[in-house]
Amino acid sequence: MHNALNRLQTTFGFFTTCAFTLASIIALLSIVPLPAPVGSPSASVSVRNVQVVKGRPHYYATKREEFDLEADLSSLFTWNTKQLFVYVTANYPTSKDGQGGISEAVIWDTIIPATSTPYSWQNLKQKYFPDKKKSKSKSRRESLSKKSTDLVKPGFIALKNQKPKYQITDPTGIISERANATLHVSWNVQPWVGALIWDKGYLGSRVGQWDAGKVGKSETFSFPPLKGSKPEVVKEKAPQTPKVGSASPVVEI
Amino acid sequence: MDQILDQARSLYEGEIDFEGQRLAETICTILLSISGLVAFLTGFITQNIYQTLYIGLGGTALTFLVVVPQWPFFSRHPQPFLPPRTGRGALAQGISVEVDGKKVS
Repeated sequence: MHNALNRLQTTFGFFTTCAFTLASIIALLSIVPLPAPVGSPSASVSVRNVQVVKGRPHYYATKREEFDLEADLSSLFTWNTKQLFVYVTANYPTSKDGQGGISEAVIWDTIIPATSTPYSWQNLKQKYFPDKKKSKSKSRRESLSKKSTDLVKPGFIALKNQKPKYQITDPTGIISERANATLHVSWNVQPWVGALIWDKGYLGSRVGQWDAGKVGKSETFSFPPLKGSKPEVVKEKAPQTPKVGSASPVVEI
Repeated sequence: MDQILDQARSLYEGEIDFEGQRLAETICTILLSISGLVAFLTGFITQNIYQTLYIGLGGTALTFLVVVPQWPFFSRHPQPFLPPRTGRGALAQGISVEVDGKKVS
């Protein structure tokens, strides 16, 4: 402390200690959770229309379907929530006797940012340093994105006939005519400080109690047969070489 | 010229006396702890994490402003050093230094 530089170093060191302690207290309180959540999240998803089409790369058969999703995830937004990641997966058993386990493929996801408060960086910048030159081009982009950020209570989702973002396929290449498939909706809370909270994990059961296997699950459906395929044409015929002589492929020594 | 350089160096180094250093350390600890506490409580009560961030950063900036520069209230107890003296002056003042039985200065 005898030197100005020394005082700067010591003060900064103590500042990082304080900041780290503050962050860990906030993270711990989010997990306990101390302002106890007012409700619990709920969601329901149902399938509408499933199609299996032949895909181009490696001739995999891809699948496309539409679904309805209704969810109330507002109780997951605390002061420490930066954004909420919601995703819908299609789960189906990999083999008929259930030995292979369950395959999960994400078909749709979205990021719900927390409500922009009057003190958030964007709003403060707008208030004190409003840019007038770029306002024309920015206002169009902002008005498009404001639909999701200006929700008074974020976390309410109501989608009908939603087309999936991603088409899924199966590692075997054949996804048609698989049975016992369900759609599951899941969430993941991304905080400002602290641990990620998955709905299926231990922390998720502390913060947003819902039966991870039962709530948010659609009814069982099966993948239909490949679109445009006739039941007679099952296999391609291997090209036949005409028989010339009898040359046996096995050489006996 | 040397004097100006010396003053500039002293300003840049920002030396303060020992009591001032103790005061600086106390101020730094107390200010940072209080700003951390206030930041946390404000954010928790208003359930808005931006309040925590701004109050915490503001308190830290205030601490830097108070502690780091060489303010005059840090130099209120200067160290009483003995007056400088040359060899001849010592003899004139009647101070004698002996090393191994021999008179040095």
